[in-house]
Amino acid sequence: MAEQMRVAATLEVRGFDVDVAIGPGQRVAVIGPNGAGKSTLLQLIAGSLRPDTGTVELHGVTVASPRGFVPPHKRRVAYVEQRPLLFPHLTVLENVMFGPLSRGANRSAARERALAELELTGVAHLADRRPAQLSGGQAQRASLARGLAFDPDVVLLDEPFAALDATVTPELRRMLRSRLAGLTTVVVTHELLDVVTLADRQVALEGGRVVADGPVEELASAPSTQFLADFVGLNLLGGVALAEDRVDLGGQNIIGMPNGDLAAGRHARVTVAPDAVAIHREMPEGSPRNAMRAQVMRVEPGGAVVGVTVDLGGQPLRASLTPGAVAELALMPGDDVVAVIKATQVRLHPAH
Amino acid sequence: MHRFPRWAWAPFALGLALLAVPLLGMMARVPWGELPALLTSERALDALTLSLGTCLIATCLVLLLGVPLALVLARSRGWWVSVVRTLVTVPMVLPPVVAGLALLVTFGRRGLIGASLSAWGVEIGFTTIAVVIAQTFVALPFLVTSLEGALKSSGEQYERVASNLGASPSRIFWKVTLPIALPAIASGTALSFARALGEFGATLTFAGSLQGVTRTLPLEIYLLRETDSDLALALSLVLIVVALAIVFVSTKIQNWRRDG
Amino acid sequence: MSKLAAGLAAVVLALSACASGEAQPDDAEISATVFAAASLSAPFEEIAADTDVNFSFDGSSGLVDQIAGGAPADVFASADQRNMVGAVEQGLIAGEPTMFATNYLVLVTPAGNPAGVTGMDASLEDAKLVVCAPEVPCGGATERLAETLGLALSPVSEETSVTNVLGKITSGEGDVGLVYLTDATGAGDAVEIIGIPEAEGDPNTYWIAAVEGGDTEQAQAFIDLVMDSPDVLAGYGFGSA
Repeated sequence: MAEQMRVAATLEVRGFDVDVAIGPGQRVAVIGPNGAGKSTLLQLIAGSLRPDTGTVELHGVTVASPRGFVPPHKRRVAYVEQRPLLFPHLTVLENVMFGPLSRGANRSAARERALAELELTGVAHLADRRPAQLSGGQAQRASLARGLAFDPDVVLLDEPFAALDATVTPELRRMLRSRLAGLTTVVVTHELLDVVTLADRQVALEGGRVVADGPVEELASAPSTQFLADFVGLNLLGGVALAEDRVDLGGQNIIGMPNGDLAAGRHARVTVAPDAVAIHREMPEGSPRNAMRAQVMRVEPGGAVVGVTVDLGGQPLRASLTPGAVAELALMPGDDVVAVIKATQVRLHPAH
Repeated sequence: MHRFPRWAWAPFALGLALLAVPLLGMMARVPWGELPALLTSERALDALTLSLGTCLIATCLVLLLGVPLALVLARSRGWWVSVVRTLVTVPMVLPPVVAGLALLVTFGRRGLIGASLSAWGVEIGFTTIAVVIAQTFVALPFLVTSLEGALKSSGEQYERVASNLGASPSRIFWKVTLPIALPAIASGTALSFARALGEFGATLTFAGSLQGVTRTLPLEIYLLRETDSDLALALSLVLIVVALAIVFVSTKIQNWRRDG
Repeated sequence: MSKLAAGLAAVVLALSACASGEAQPDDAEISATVFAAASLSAPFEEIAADTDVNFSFDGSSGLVDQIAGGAPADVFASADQRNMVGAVEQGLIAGEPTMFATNYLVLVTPAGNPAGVTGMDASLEDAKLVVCAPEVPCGGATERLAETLGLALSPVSEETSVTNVLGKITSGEGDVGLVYLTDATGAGDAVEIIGIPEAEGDPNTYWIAAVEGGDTEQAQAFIDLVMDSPDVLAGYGFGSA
């Protein structure tokens, strides 16, 4: 494939040895513990680091190899970091114009492009502000606009929401999801939600090596390492949307809060925190909206919280219960139970 | 209520007195009535114009050489960086006479470089150029050390961002590094100017002392002490006022940088 | 060697003075406090090597101020007549001051005399001349000398002290300088000395006297010792009184 991006490189000092190819328009989430090599991978693509051996290809062009190196400013790679890092001496508009101007656009074209990008990221009304006058969320939007305004071939996101207030991230995630549609994206994250909303493929790194690589749906069902299992702190279920707040999980329906436009008949993803799942022996009174029949698969005592995994129509669903509740229910593998989840604790995501 | 022990007031007062009383004492002795006449005398004007002119040139040289020097130091890694940093700092702590001797054995007629220059018919000793070299020599470290610190504490991350956005190294320097470091450059320049203006020892040893050519304000004051203490005091007052102005400006810049 | 010889000569002279039976204490018994011009430090230290004398060397005018301020001096030795006259006028001196040495301006060039200076003449015109500024004593003497000779000097630098003039010549920066013979002598082989007859005729004079209120007996003993040591002074370039 001539258009693809490929990093097949080693970096001895960091114990990094990775070979990843990413197709055009593909959206990849890179996860892994601290020091796994996630940022190293991004820096190799951006050109802040040079590989010891191997090559980096962008758009089918070799940009780093033992024989040659294309410096960052000659690559078309947007690199948005955890902190917005807007130039403090420029206005928001001038910040966004910086990329197009640096790449040869004239002032009026750069200005037009920057304003359009600010419109898309939702901060066009702040164009004349100084970075110091922005909130964290606004600054990160401006930073995204700046990264995208020069029409990069690849967008790299390094924990883009990690430094932000949790109240502003859902909105930002939605914006980014629509803005990045069709762009080759690599996002480094510690958040399952980022993986679910922004990626269709996940690559897990540990100790500088790829330990898992595949479609996002596979991530939850078969975590291959302890880190992945911990990472999937949320339950991730796959299904088909029935309505904008309803998903069919293979025979049983789940109702939840939509995160994005769910079209009936399209694939959808459902996320639920384990502590939002209650387990009952019988169908409880008062008919809660989400009460689904399931079978106990595992009971894992873990101190203050006992992890109970049940089989919900073929997909694993984990629940965190108190030891007292587990003892009262006397749960054993194979038992039939009812999993009850408040609809407000369920998030529904379009899969594509 | 008190954030420090009460007894701290005693050394506080003593220290303050040590610093302030000599300045006040000087103010008391300055012949205020004759000040205009004294400061417009030919000797005073010669020294003032010479000092001002040489300091401006020296400060420009300090900027031209110092900013790139600080940048390279701040952005480089390796054993040689600390060696260079030490070399750059040494003139700051060197006794002025030693600085003068060092310049003499370098740029003097028989010096390392001066000998070759002399063979070409260029002689630096006893010229205004020697004054400028001496001032640049002692003032450069002030800009480099203060600017290097500022460049290290910020800057590099913005330069990386600019590079990813497509800016060439030169464009990064002009559009990102320089503007962000501007407050540090300004206060470093003010300090360098002050140091150049006060330059005495190296000039005396290296450049000589001739009215209108090499005799700067400090040299003139030193000489006038012997005979005309009124004019010496009047010229000293000029230096004190300039020093106050520079300290004031550089504090303002630093506050602005902190707030902005 | 020459210093040693001069020292021996001084000892011999002192012994001969004792032998002549005058009422004079031994060197070792002299214990005076002497305030002397800085240029006298080397010869005075040598002269008083075997005594119990304490020295305070400084600029002559500064010493007069110190004595007037009550500093405990027994002897005052001035590097010029003006300051001694000043001390007398302030009533600081007991008895009559005595002139004990002279010093005069000479031309010095770097070793080899690269500019080919021949004396206080037209040869100075193409050379880089370094002198003392008129504000300091050596500069005053320079001005008087130029006036006497009817010469208009055009120096490249007017230094704040005679040491600075000498420094410019020993480093080769200047071609020729006007300094005192004592300073030129102190510079050794680094400079060549060209005498100026007119300057020798109008020397700078060194004066010594006992201080009012001091130990006049001890003071006189030291003054006698100095007067008996012309060879030591000559060794440092001083002329005899």
